[in-house]
Amino acid sequence: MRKRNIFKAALSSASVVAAMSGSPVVAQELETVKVTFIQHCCSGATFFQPMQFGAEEAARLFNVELTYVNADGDAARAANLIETAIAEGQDAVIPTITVPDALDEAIKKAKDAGLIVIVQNIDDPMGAAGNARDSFVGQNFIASGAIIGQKMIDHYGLKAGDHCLLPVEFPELTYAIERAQGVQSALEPAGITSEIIGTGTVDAEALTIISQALIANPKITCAIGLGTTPTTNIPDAAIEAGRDGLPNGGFDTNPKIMENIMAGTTVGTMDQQPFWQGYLPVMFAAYEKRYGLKAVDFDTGNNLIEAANGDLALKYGGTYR
Amino acid sequence: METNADRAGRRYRDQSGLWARFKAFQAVSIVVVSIGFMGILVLWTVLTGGDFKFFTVGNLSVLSQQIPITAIAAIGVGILMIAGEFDISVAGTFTLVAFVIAITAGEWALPLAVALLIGFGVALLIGLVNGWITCWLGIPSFIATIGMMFFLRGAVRYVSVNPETDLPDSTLFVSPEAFKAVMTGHVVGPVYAQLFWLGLVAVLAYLILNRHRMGNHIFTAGGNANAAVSIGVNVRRTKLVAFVICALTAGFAGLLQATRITEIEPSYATISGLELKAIAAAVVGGVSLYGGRGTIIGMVLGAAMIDCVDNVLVLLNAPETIFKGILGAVIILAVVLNNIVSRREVS
Repeated sequence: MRKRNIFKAALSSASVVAAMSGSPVVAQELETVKVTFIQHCCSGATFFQPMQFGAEEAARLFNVELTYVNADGDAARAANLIETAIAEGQDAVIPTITVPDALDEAIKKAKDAGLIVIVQNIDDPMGAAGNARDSFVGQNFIASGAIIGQKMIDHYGLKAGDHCLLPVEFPELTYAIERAQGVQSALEPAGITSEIIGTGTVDAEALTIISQALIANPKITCAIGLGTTPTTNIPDAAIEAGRDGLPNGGFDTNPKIMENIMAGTTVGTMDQQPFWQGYLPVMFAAYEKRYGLKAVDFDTGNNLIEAANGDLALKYGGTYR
Repeated sequence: METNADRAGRRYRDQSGLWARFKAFQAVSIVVVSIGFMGILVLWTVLTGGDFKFFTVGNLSVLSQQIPITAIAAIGVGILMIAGEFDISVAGTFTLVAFVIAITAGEWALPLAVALLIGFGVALLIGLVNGWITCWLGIPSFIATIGMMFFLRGAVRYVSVNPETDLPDSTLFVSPEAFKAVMTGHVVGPVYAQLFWLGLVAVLAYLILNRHRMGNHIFTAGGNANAAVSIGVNVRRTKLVAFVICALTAGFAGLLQATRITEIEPSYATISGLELKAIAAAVVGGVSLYGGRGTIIGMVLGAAMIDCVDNVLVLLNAPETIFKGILGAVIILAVVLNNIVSRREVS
């Protein structure tokens, strides 16, 4: 942890030095833009560290007064935080739409009050038609699901009759549903069946749930984690269940996932680049407020990380990756 | 020279004076702490030249929609605590009742009134089961309601399963506009209908607790169960009523939330922390953890205090990494101050 703090301090110092040594626009001369960034849940989860790191880096570079808050997985609290941002006179609010309609009214209020609304990480399944938001910065879940599904087939030689476990933190949320759709779109034509289980976001609980599922169902021949927590814990769960070497892959990156990939324990992971999901919405908000440059939809990536291209993801885990 | 009669008269006069009445008011400590807290917020607003937006219509609007949810749940939990018991299954009841009403009114297309009856029937049943396990089977309420909490989490996931995906899913609660306006509509300025519902629940709870024989029984059962039995109070039945009140208020809070947000998530039962928030609100408001002591106004102010502190931390841009820590520390501070003021009040 100390090493990480030193690393962060070094990065911060480098940014300040860069800003002072003639970067294109000196941040301090810019009008301050006030932005509320709402992380939808899971304080302390490794997935969100690069996101917060990115939001804070953009805030520093583009002279944004950033309010970074957590909705604790509660849509009502997220709605309250959006309305608080309106009351505070913020210029922009950056929420996540974890369930399709819960924030519609609050987002409409924000738009009516003149705020820029950029959704990050998870969008309404209907996209821009689903509510009044301006743009979305995040992953195309269905497309990325198809990529990791196909990778599992190609790498492990999965075939008709195989059965994949698809563990995910919150099966009811949009990201889980769409990633599962994507994965199944690759598996089902090959005759591979699948089942989904919920794990929550606590590593220890997820480990137990996955290992119990593997013990209970010997027909499971592969596992694809649909989120950070299950992807992190599948290899250890397989060992606990006496299924060491179980073919597995997943979504998202963190130091543990990267260690597993580099060790060859996990074939690969779909990186949605949470750093961009923090950085870009803050930057978009600042540029739209100052220069009228409209925030745009941005696919943060369907990038498959494997052992061959994982060095940087491992090196910068917890900050940029 | 003052005679004994004079002294008695003075004591009588003092006791019947405004200050004595104020001191006799059980919730004086939380009222004093709340006034102090508001004073700090006013001062901060003045010192920052209005940059601190707590007292804006928009921000107070947020609070007038949030505080009633916490406060209504806290009233039920608080009454149960006065009766000497706990309910850890409040978030599950809150979520399940909302789901049941949404599903019966939506997918089953039953009239809303029938859906409400079914929903509150479920709440009633939960309260009865909690009370029965605790009072008739002798299982400590803390354990019994932890079991109920897990059962309700499972029940929520079961009823929320989307037949298309065979997975738990969020559910829309599409209510008639008139119903939505009555339950959660905007009234004027920062005032939303939820505040009136909170007022109604608080008044009803006050009448039960302070103007009805049942209230005396609740205080007695929680304060000293053996003494209550010896003077003829049916302690088991009294506590059962308190469990039912707790479940009904949790269900009602769930209905208000579902009406406002229009979409209910199954994960709310698991991750909201409403049960502990409601207990914390009651304790901050002066409800004794040992039973037998507490006021409705204290519970409401305790809930308001917790939601206001949360709101203030957002407005002050408290770092996300230490947000919960600060919130917890402020709650502890409020309880300690409340306790200090209570002791002075007694002495």
